[in-house]
Amino acid sequence: MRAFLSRAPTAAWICALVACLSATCWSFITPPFEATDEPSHFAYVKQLAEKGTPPTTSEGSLSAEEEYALKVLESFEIRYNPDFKAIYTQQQQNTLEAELGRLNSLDKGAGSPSGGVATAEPPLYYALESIPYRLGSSGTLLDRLQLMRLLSAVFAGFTAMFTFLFLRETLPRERWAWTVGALAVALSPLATFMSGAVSPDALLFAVSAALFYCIARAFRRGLRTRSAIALGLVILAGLLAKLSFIGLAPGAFLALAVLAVRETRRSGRKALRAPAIGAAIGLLPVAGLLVRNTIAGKPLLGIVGGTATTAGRTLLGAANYIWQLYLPRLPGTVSDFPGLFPARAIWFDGYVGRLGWLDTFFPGWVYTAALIPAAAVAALCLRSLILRRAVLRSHVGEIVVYATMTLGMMTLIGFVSYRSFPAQTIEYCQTRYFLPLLPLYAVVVALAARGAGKRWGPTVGALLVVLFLAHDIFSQLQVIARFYG
Amino acid sequence: MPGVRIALAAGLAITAVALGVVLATPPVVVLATNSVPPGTTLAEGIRGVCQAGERMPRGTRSIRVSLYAFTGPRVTVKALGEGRLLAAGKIDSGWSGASITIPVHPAPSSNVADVTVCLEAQTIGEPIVAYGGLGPKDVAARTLTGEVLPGRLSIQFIGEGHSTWLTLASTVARHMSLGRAWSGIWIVFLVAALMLAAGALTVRLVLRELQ
Repeated sequence: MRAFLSRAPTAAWICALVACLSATCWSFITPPFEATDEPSHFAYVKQLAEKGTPPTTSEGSLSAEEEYALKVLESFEIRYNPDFKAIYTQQQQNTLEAELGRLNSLDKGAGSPSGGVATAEPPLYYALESIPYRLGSSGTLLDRLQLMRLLSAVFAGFTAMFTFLFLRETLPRERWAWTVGALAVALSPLATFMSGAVSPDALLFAVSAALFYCIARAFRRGLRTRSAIALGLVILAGLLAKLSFIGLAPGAFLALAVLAVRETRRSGRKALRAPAIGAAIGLLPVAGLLVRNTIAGKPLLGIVGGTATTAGRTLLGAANYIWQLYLPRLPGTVSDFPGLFPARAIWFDGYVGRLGWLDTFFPGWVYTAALIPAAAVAALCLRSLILRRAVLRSHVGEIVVYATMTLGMMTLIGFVSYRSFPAQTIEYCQTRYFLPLLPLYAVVVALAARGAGKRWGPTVGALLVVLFLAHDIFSQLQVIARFYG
Repeated sequence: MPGVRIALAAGLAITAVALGVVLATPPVVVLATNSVPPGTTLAEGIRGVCQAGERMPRGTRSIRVSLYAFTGPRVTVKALGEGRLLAAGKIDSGWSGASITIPVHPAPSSNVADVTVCLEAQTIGEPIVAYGGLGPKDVAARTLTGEVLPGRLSIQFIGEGHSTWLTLASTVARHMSLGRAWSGIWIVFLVAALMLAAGALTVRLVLRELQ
């Protein structure tokens, strides 16, 4: 790891630092518990840090101190209601601090009976967050929350760093384009907003970026035992970071299979050893889950199996739903989203700016205006791909792997949302669920800059970077106006 | 490569100008409200609702109503008064939240009393929940089919305030320093410094790598 970090170019470090700084800003700007599901994630950490076990129920109340903080901070009133602002007076602040100080001594060691919506999540992120939680144990709940947010911000740095390294592997010729792509991620408001909050998404983004890097590296330099172990460990970390990593897992295992076939052709059957080691390490959490559920007499795949079986009740209906979630409806099919084109209204607009609890928006014209640079980026990227189609042909296996990872995420989100349809049109209508694919977004941006040609490429790249910087700044101002204006 | 420098300089200049324009504009504020607290569920799965007896102030640019949906359908709003359509607007599908803010046009040039506000979902989709306060039947909101709801919805009329963001900056900064860990006005300066540092690093990196 140390050798890897020392080999990373300075530009990668600077991109990482920019991401860290942006996420740190978000951690201070966003009021406590005003990021999606943050109360539940905090409760999980509290339980794990104080009791040593993950929460066992999503029902019931949270800890006394967290319930008090949520009440005094008026979190439930503020959420979804733009009329409500964060607390206003020094007197409120003094009362809050005094009472939280008192509750910290009373509530210490009690854990959190409920983990809310985070209960089903795997423990890795929460275990890591237990460190700042314990470091801040003498302070109030708000001190601990802020320290935890700062650790999340560090993960944003890793996300940008691995994205840079992924670009270095996938687009080795144009060095300058790595910076453009990595800065697109480092200054992504949605990614840094989520990484400035207590949320396993922060770790998931970093681990996913590491996965993309490991796969790209293995395709370029071959899969040796060490790189296979690294890839296996990254898959393991992803599966232990957040359940939604399952969407990327089929693509990751496909990568191991493709690499195994390629290496076997070159070096014979002994080359199977490395991919087998990688797959075995990556499958460890699945094996652990199977053993645990067998012993406990629960369904073998737990919540994941439940998702698959529920969603599979009408396969055709699910397929139609998932198709329309991303693409225009096919002729002759039932419209699941009348008057709504999710690709634009949910996913695109969500990336442009739906922050807080999805309740902080830009004025409507911003989303329409954002279509212009988005279309330009898409057109330039397409031009770049067409010009280099010969190179693409030699990377078909790798491209199929990335496509599988993308389709895996799209299908997972579609299946899970379909469970609550039609009571809720799209339960998981948050663009953040696609942010594990940030490295691919970075490739699109880098290709777009390159698509402007040798002469204009860097200039277009510089313009794109300024656009991303402005997007981040105005998103932060929008959140400040929403909560403090 | 001079193109990179020029692009950076132009981009940053446009950003600075845009920032200046934003700071020189007044924030949107609540011009008037019917003072109904949105604490009670009045109806679930409604497709449209009308509520009379509202007062629409001069300069209203948006109407905010206490309707909830996770992924809301397209909704139109009409403000009717003095025997005519005063203003109308729509919000596209995909909104989310416990209140819906719909831009309306034209902005009335004077205050209008006894306005009826009508909202209608234009597409079949997720059921909408109406929140408000319980009240007597004769002044309660009604669905488009004439069904009387058990009370009134919370409605606010939104328009531009008088102060600009720039003049409000110190108030916003003071507000931002509260309700958090390590409270104090220094938080605001810290955030500004961190973002300036991020911007400076970005510019420096672009100049180094893209030239």
